Amino acid sequence: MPRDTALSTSNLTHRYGDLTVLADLSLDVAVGDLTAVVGPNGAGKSTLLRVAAGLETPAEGEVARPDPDRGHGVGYLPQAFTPRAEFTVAETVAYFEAAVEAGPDPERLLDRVGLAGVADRQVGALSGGMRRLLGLAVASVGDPALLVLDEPTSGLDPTMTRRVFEAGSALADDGRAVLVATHDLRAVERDADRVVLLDRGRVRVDGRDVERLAARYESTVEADSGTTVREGAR
Amino acid sequence: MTGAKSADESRSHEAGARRSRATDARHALARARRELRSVRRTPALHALIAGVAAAFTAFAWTAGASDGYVPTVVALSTPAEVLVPVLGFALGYRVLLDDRRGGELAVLDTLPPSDASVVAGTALGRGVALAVGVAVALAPSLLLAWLAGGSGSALYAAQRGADSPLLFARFVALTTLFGLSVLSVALATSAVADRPRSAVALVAVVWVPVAVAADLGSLAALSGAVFGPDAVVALQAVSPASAYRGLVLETVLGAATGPSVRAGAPALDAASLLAWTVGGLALATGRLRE
Repeated sequence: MPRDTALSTSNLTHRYGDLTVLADLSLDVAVGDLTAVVGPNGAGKSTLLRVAAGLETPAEGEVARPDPDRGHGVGYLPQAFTPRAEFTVAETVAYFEAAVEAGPDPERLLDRVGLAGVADRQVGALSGGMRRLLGLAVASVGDPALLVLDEPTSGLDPTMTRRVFEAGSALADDGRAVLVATHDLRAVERDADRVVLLDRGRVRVDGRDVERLAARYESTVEADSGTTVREGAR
Repeated sequence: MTGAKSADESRSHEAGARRSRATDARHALARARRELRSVRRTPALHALIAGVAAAFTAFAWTAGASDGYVPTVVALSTPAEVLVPVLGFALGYRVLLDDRRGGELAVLDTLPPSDASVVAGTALGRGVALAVGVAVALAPSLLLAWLAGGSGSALYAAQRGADSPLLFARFVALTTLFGLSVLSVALATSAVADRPRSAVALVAVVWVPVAVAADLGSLAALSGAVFGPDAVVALQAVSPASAYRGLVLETVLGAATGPSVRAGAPALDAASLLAWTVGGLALATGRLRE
């Protein structure tokens, strides 16, 4: 795997029973990029992300993840992240940080995602958006080379969506690869460096002309051309 | 060259294994502290402990505390077979399930600590909470027995010299051991269930029938004279509740009344409680990610 590539998958196929959710899917994710994975429900986005994070083993194909010497490898934010309500924000991050290294420093991570001001607030008292930012801080403990975020903005208002994407973009700019599944095309247009459109487990569109590709999202899915379009992908 | 490379690889693997063990130990302790804090911040569990304490105190008040420590144990041992499992299950039946549903386990799955360290830390933290809960719940009964000064009943009059707060302390320790075995089963339930309702259903459909059937089986075997006394004693050790009862009868009452009655095989009963504890934790570890 090239040094500037944080994740490389080749010919991935994955099934749940008789249902094929990923079909011969190949994808490289570059360091420094926020790569958005878009597609309709059931397209295979979450499965791709779980495979990328190492939480599922594909039925066929190969996955190359980051070298463990570069951070601890992969950070993951699941779709429904609801940490225990009775702990403070700082306690929550410190707990996960302690799983990676001795002497946790939650302030640094909370500062990075803009939550330093609410470090002592209980998780149960956070808004949905702040909870996602907390999830982003938790996913980035141990400085992973690849961050995998599964629909971190679903159900959020535009302001919080912007904050979450900006935080993800800043993490990518800091030298990580960020792979994010989302339905939020405006945020994709604004903050993503690359967009990958999945449909029925296949890559239909993959390119860096994010604004135009995001605009084609619905029409591409509806047309169901079955062809893969690659525009300017690395 | 090959030999030197092999030795380097071997040293590297050993260093990796040491790092991994150190990470697991650190995480288990961090998790145990987190569980203790979680219990401390859960008012429903405080209320439950207070309720269990009130129930124990009522039983002690009405049926034995004025006669001394051992009669108090006699009064409390049967209620403990019901109340302590309630406490153990309340402390454990949702903890791993909620962490899985909330995504915490998925996040931990991408981090270095092993599943065993997650379960061990949870069991350690919740186990300490349970031990404190049992001690707190039984403390008022001990106080009652102490204040009553042990006037002495007809049954225990001959052994008044053997009645001692140390026997009550032994009862507390055995009750904690029993509670730990239930907590361990509760953690296994929590790892197996996919929602809180199914955790409760598992307790109702699997745990209660197993405990009750084992209990009734040993009683039936005893009354029907189907098996010899040794076999009955062994059968009694199968269920955690009857193993606990056997331990209390043998090591607390037996110590006070002398070796005239054989109520159980302490080593077998203790081994049974240990097996339930280890088995529950092993099941919880094996099913944590499923």
